[in-house]
Amino acid sequence: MKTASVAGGGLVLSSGMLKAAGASGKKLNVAMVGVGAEGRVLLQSLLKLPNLNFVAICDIWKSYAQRYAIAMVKKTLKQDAKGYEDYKLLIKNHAKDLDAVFIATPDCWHAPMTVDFLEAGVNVYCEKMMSDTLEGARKMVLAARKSGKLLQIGHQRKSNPRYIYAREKLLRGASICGNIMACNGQWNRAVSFDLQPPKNQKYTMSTEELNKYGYKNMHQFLNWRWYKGFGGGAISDLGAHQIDIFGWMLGARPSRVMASGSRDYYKKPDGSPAHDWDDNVMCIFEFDKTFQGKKAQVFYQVLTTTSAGGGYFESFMGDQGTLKMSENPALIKLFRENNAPKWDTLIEEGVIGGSDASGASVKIADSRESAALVSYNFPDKIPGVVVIGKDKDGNTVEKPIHMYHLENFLGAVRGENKLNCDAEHAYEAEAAVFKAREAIENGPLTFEESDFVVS
Amino acid sequence: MKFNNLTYTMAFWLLRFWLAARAIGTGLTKFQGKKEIVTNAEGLSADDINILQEMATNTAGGPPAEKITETVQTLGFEFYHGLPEKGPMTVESFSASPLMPSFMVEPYALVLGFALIGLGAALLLGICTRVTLFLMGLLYISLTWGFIILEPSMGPSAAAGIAYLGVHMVLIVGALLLADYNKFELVKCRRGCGLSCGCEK
Repeated sequence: MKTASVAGGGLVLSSGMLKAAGASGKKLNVAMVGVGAEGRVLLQSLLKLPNLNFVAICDIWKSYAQRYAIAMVKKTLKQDAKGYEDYKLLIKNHAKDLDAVFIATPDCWHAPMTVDFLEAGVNVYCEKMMSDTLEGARKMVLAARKSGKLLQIGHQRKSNPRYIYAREKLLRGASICGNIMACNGQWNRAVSFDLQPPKNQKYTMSTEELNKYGYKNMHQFLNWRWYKGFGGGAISDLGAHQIDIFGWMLGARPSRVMASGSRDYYKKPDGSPAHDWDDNVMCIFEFDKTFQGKKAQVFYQVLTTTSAGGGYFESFMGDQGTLKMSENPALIKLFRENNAPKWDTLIEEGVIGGSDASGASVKIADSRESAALVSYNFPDKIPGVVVIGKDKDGNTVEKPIHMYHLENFLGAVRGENKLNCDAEHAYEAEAAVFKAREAIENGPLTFEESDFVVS
Repeated sequence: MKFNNLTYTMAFWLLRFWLAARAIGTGLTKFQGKKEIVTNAEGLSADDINILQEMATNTAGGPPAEKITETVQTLGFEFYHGLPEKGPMTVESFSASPLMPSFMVEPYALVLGFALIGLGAALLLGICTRVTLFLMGLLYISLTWGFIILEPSMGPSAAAGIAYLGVHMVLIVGALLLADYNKFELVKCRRGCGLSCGCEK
């Protein structure tokens, strides 16, 4: 292991954080490539972790994103990270000293960068999607295999203590849902318009600089997620996280998919679609054999035109109960079917928390309806959940949701644990998302007017 | 019950120091304000600070970056506000009252904080104590007048303010009655200074 000789900055962490982060671990030399919106989320967590030495920061937006990240490293850790525009130069100058690199660039850069870093002997944490093409993702898996280096993909729910608890203790240990026959998930987001460049002109990139990296202009550069050749749209940006979770929780790979997409909301002034990828997507995955040996259907939707409907969650629906998971702990719920055995013992043993009958007061309007269900909470204490303090209103503040996954990766680099989401497994979600997108293009059967008219 | 002179002197000092602290403290709050400062800024260049502040407030390409400043309470002339900037007792409220000549409101607000600190300091140090107490009484009467004219719009809270300032007036009068027993004055007003204040005894 390559270890740093530079002393760390005076970062103050609670004892819980230090313990969870493996404070005894050796100092690692790290670099970041891509410090856009997601990169900054990762950076903010990384800057709170002990024993990291930031060797270099790479971003093509030198005057803005790159400068910001270098300044944040200097401010927080008192370390002088070297700035790079070209990641290949970073590899040339630092690969031999680097323990790990964090890649959070547009999807189209993930595969070439990851492959180059792995081949240079550097462990890689790469944001999802793995690539904007399935072939790119395949190359990443092969490069990881060949190099023997670690490649973690940023499906951070797989390191979230609540998700791990739900998978191991509730779905498998307690079989709390009974037979899981269906799943339902969504990420509903309100209308939001395309990102705009900074008002201060000194932070704008020139057209020449943008063209050099394949972008037509600042608008395309900032909103790359919506464009073919750069990103994959909402179904990959948001959906991939949750589609990955369905496969992981069910312990299976989907067998079939049908899907529908729509690009009828965000428009250019001439009325044509503003983006290359769909505004909204709905899809159904069929699983032939879950970990319970059953078939299951998964309905998933991602909307960027409506936020109503409960935000973002994944529900696992069985004949005895339903587990509703979300990265937002406030949205996590359990529902016991009224004809299922009581959960009193589970409550007494602390496997689940108390009940809330407020949602069960809805009156039945028709005898064909099932009665509304009492909801149950998770227990107050979940193994691995770390509280790092309190906010100004006195509410407890937990460790940021990405931090667990970063710690898992850094722990693996130090040889302390295994990766929670290596490239081999992340590729399964990648394949599912690409197939769903293909189903949008080719799948649906088309109705003819004549189908509805008796002639 | 008989008291010796030392008792009266101590009673006066307590009033003198209480009234001085009250006036100085109230005056200083008029110079109090909030300021944003960059935390942990050692070693950062001006460009570093600029980009951190830019990203914390106006981030392109996503949500604002981590806040790098913190708000601190501080004193400074730039924060001076003789009358409250919010609530029912602003310059605008007084100017709108028919019982207050509007041209006087801003000058009054301009000198109020300085007058409170000046009179409080003079009382603390013992500069023409009787005259200072008298002027302080006049200042509290002016404040009382403010509550009186806004009572129709403020209601019970104005009445409470009037009573509250009345207590101050009682203390000032008490101090004046005990002023003969004052000791340790920096500047005594003497006969011939134009004011027959009696402290020259």
